[in-house]
Amino acid sequence: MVRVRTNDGHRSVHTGSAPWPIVTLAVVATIVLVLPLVALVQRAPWSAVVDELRSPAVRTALRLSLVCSLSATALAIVLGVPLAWVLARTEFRGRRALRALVTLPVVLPPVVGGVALLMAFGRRGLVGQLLDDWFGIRLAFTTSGVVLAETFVALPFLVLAVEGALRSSDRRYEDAAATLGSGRLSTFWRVTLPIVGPGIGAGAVLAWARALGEFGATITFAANAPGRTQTVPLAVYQSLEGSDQDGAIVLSLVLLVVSFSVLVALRDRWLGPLR
Amino acid sequence: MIRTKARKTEARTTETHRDETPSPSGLTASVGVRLGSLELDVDLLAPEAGVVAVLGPNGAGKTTLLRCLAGLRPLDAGRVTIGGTVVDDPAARVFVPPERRSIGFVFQDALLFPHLSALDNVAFGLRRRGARTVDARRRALEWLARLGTEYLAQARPRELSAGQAQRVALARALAHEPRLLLLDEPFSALDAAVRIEMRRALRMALVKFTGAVVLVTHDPVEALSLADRVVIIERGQVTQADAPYDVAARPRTPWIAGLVGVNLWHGTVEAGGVSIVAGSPPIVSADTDRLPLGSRVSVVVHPHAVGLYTAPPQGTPRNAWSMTVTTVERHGGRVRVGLDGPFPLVAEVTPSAASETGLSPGAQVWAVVKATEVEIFED
Repeated sequence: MVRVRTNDGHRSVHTGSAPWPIVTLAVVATIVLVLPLVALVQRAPWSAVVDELRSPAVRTALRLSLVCSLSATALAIVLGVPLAWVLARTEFRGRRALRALVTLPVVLPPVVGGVALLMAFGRRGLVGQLLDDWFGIRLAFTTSGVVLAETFVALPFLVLAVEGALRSSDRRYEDAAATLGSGRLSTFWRVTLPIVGPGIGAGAVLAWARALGEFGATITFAANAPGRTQTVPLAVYQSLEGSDQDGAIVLSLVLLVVSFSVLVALRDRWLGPLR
Repeated sequence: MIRTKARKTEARTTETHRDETPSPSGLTASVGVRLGSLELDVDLLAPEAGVVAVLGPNGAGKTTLLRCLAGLRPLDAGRVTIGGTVVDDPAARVFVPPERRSIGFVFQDALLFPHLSALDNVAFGLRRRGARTVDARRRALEWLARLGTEYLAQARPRELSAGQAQRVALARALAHEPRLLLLDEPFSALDAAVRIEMRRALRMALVKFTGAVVLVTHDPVEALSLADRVVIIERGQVTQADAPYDVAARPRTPWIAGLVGVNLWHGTVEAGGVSIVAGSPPIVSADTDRLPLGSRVSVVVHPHAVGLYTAPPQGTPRNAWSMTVTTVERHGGRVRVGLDGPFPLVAEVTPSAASETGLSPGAQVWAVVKATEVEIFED
């Protein structure tokens, strides 16, 4: 029986059953969310998991995914924390517009991001052409391109998380640091960053998970070249295309385990403290 | 009621700093800022080693004043000098940011950096001013010891009680030996017992402090007992700036009269009470038997605790003096009556009581104070 919880968290004394239409829809929603994952685990070729993970193609994709997503996360921290600070701590014309632009990739379909990246950094792109002509740097269809695509998608998550942490932190800590002789840059390093450290950590985990699962922007901007741009999600896609269902399932399980770990790591943030 | 405060040293007694000549090595400030509808316009002088208390109702601009002195908010008009150096003068386009001013700031809620130990919090200012880590930690430990908190050196701020945190915050503000110490209601977040301890700790710490001190508070006892000079701010303006005794004895506005306008004497504990004037009977307090004979104390009697009678009092009131009315002033719903007798005294009565008793200058009355209404503070 589903009991009704009152607002303050105590169970109601008169525990009536919840109305059945609501419960029914809630059950359907749960099935929609959980059934596919159950199916994935149920269809896993458990005897072949170890062999699949040892296969050179899978290991190459895993290594590439790890390197690219960690690079993208590092890049997102280095660039995103200062951007978050500017958004949270300074006041200038167009700050709100900048914030909206920064947030846009969160809701933008990743494939659009990929096309946009091509227009900017492709060989005939706005900047890509100059990079190629002057420095011989090509980003499209390279591993660097994968990192760029993943950064593009992950960065906003980090910026928003860190900006939120900065806004909710007490600015008077920075005042206190100033009265103790600390300049603004020194205060940023020694006071602001440590205080919003947990926010940066949470933002980084979120950004990393986003980068690891990136598909649309990567395949559009960097294509699907094994060993160079084929990350795990792209390898899953190719395996299914080439009817290597077992390979697709094993790689999907790997991503599922990672996602679950992220959820556990951020449980305090999303699920509230454990009771 | 006995409240104690740490022993004053000779160098810090009120008398020494009664003079009002601005010391170029202390603080001179003329602060003008607009705060929404409030115009803050305050002149403030604090000599070296002097303590100025800034007292005022909520929203009077006290905290803003401190933030201006610290450089956390630039002036709109005016001028601030610390130790003879101009740190803010908008007309001359001078503004020294807080990190380059010689200041220490104690916030109401300590604001210790949560990621640093108590020791590293105290060492922070020394480190930022270029001290080596080892030296900074050694000096920080000395400061923690001076405030009786060296056993907390390795504790994180979240492990400290409010009183402990405020002591560490005080050590942190003093460790780099600033020329100006700014205290923003440092005790108001503490409960009463801890507050008394803290006041004692502050007084001890200030004994060796050679800079100027500005203490913002809304607690009149704090202001009267810690400061050499009390500045009252109401709605952004100074309404009175005097020695504590004068503020207590001659409050200039109803707000001051209501809060600070108390009878304040200094005296010596003797058998039967506190002697404040040679030759007159001692003031009897419910507290004196707990103090050793000869203790130097401050005696506070709130004017509303003074009863006025035309006939000699019946029964056995412990404190009853025959006095002459010198002044009668109406402050809002109260009448303040100035009296003279063995010593000056201020009483506060309702307008109807005043007219019934026929109070007017020259009238003879009996002033009566219950022994339980006489507050004693150890000097």
